[in-house]
Amino acid sequence: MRKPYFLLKTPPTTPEPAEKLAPWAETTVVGKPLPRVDAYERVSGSAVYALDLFLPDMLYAAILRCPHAHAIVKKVDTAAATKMPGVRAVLTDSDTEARIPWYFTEKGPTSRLFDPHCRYEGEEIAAVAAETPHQAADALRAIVVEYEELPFVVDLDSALKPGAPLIHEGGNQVEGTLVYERGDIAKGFADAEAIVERTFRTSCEIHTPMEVHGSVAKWDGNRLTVWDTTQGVFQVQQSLADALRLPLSNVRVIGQYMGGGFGSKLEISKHTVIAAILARKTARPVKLFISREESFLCVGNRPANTMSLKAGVRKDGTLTAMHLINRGAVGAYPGWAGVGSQVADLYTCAHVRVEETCGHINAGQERAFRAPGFPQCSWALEQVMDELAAAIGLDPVEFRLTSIPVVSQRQGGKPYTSTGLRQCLVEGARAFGWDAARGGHRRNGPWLRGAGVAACQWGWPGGPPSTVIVRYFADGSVSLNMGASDIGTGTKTIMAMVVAEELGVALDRIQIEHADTGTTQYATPSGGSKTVPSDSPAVRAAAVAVKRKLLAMGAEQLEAAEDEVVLKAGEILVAGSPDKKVRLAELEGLMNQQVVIGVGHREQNPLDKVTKPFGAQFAEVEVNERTGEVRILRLLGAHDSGRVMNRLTYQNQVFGGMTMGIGFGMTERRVLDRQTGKMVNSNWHDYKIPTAMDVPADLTCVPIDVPDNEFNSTGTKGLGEPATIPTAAAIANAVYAATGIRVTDAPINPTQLASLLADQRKRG
Amino acid sequence: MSLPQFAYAAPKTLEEALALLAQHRGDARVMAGGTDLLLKMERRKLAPAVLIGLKRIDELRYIRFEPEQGLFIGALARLSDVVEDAIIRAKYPAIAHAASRTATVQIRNMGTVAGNLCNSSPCADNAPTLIARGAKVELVGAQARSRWLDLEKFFTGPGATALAPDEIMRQIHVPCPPGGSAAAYQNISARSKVDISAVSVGVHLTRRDGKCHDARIVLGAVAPVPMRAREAEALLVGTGMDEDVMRASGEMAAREARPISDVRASSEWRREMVAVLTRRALRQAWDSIASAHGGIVNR
Repeated sequence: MRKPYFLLKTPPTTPEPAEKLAPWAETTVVGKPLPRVDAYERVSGSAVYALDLFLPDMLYAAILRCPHAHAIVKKVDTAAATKMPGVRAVLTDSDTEARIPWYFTEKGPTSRLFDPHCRYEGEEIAAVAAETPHQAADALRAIVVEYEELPFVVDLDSALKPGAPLIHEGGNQVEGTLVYERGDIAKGFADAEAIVERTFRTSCEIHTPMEVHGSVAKWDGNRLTVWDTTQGVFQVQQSLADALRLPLSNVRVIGQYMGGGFGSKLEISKHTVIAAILARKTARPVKLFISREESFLCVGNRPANTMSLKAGVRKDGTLTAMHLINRGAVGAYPGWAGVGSQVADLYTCAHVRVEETCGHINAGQERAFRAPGFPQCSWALEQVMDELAAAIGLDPVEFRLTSIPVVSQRQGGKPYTSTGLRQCLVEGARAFGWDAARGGHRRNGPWLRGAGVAACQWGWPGGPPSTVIVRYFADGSVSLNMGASDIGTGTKTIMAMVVAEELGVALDRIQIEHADTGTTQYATPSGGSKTVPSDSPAVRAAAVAVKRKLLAMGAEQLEAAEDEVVLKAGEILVAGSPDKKVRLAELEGLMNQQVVIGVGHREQNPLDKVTKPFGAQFAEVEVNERTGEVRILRLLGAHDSGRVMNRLTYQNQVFGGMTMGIGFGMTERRVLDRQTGKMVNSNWHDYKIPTAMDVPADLTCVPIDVPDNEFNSTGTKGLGEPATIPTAAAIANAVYAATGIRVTDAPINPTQLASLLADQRKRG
Repeated sequence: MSLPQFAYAAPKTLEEALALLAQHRGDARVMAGGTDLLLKMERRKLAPAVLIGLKRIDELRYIRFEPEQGLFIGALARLSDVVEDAIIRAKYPAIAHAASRTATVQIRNMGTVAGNLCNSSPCADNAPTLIARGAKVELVGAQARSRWLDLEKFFTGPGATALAPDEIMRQIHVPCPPGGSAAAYQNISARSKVDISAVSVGVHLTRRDGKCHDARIVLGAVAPVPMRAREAEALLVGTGMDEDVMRASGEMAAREARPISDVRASSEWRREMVAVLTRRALRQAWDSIASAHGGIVNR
């Protein structure tokens, strides 16, 4: 099994750059609030997304999915479907070319493309390719499937009980319980002057990116081209090559525009392979997009967790011990629902024990979802931190400031390359007006007001491999060639700004080729908030390589030493000799070659240090004591993600992360019906993501702009995921400040909160 | 998801539409905005052979106020038309408000008030206020057969109405508001700011000599059809509508409600919200009569 990026222990490397680039002392382009370089294409509709692609003779495919939570397919009768108008191919498990192993553990595959043992509602049974999407949909309905329905289980507590319906022969628990331990928690709790212990639950959250998942597949002989909605074209290329037993060089995957993924498009999905097989079978291009409803079932989710956290503290604020017991439901197939990283690493604590158990239920497999595990952990940890602060009479910000580590306790005590956690808390609190917001309970009729804070750390820094090519043309325009996807986060804009910074080229003179395994160089998938810290140093190295070559040409033409010349405003100048200069447009070497090429690689991360982004968020809310409604009045995010590359995209990420955090904390919840095992809200009507009406107008982004120059040559750390980690916990702490009620189960919906408020009134 | 196959007819007169409906008796559905119907078809809850689109029937597209008779809302008046109509906003503000609380901008620009009623969802936002205001609906069948029905009697169950298979709702009539009266609408969701109402309440109050002369309270989404809370109404008549009376009436309405638990909210919360929203709506309506100087102005 290819593990997702966040489980890789030793990432592969690219060659070390020839020179270690000194950090930028000052910048002229990088850091500015610049709009997206592809904004026009995206808003005008001229950007071609995979869904927009129409190839001559293209067929449309659709997938028949199991309507039961757990069943064995006894028989699939495709006779009627095959004869329907426009139908060109029907694919089932009877086709040997479709017998492709799927869902791997380290021991091997656990299923196959159309496995007759269906372990959740939505598993693939058959597929049809037809002349029109409607013909394909009609043909699916004509396929007759005989099922043997099996007992099912859709909640983890029941799944782990003896006698529960078995989803896999080996049992419903995934491997063993994973234990992390340092120190001796018994000793730590004995030293504590106050102890808090509480159980928290989070709900399963669905990614629901704006763009649904899909692929267009086309064969030319034994060469396959796939246009895909993916965060990582090279990841999909490798998986397709494996599944179809093709050389990597025969598989070209293109994914140039993307409508969001949030992790659900980090890995290949079955529909991509199905599209490729149907295209081969029919000798026609095939487009296969899943529906919105399917996307709720079969392309991943953030697993639901149950977390019991016990923590001890001394009156001076010293955390003495933390003990987390986590259980998470990974769905029907192998996965991971761990959350413990921040408990072990965010705050200084000598004695820590984390026990994590994952189990199977009859539901779709989990997938990485924007900071996998971290918002769940934050929900528990940051609420317990809030309670501990109250228990010893410290302000929640002050309390956190007593426990800020400068080393990663979880990673062998290695120091951090940088940590801005203190600034996040201090500068965030100042900008928020924390002290005033905490000043006493305020009531406005039935509305109670309160403010809360939560901090965070993100676990994955990024790094090699990444290879980038920059081409400088004779007229001074530039081509930037990189494998990384721009998943809507502004990657292309930031990379172009890096080129502009080094070569002094205007952004509109830079064309970007990217995310195409046929024409660009290897990059890891865009996930883990690591695209900018992984790839921008490689872009810088490539641009610097071009600059070195241009300078060498200039030195030769000006008869100066290479270390005497500098590039400035389109000219090469000799230091100290104002008359000796040549415009790049008149550079003989460039005219002769017509193009100068620079290749850049991502340098290795420092081996003796650890890199993590940090952040703190602040929330102010009003709670209606009778209805349980929560009005989020304002949110502020203060983040340390190293250098701010583009003030505008930075702010977009923070606001977007906080918006998603509102969904996780307030509205989003997959509901599986215990009677049928089916999801009852697999649509945007009943599954509630935040709309503009649910997000406060008062959002603030406070960048802690401290370049992490020890980490990489652009000084950047990740931002996309940290921005969503602490939001829900900050809101929950604000709700507590307003009401005195600790909401342990996410999301905080009015139904739950009104019931808790009623209980509180009864208790008096 | 894709729609099942169907034939589409686009008649230009009500007469033609009725003839088509009679011709395909039982196998045709009438569509105005389609915002509910097409979803039901996508989900295969309905698969009519024929859809009869009403949109080209200009005679059904009107909002008319007649000083003696009151308000007439034609079958094709969209929710957004009702929200924006100057006369409705002036004379029936609660009806405009209820329309504005229905769904989202996009749906209000397609969907109609009549469609919202004919869909007969227990949580239809426009039903409680219209019932509270004593609205009637005109149902027409083949050969121009016409009958008027109290809206209150129109709903027979979730998704079911008194409409015969060959009938179309032509219009909604709301009488002139009595002097010294006002209506109000309150709704709430347990899930998000953009949602179907989990509970809704429409009220109508008439004040005479400083006391409540007439009260109607209609609850939405807490029973199979929009329901009158008659005992809660009875508590109000003859009182000076102080805070205690309104609270008691709200609590009585909560006892009368018959809510269920579903994906949108629990029955307990719904019942509690009936009490809160009823009190809010009563307060709002009573205050607006008072602010109109003893009920001289119709609101």
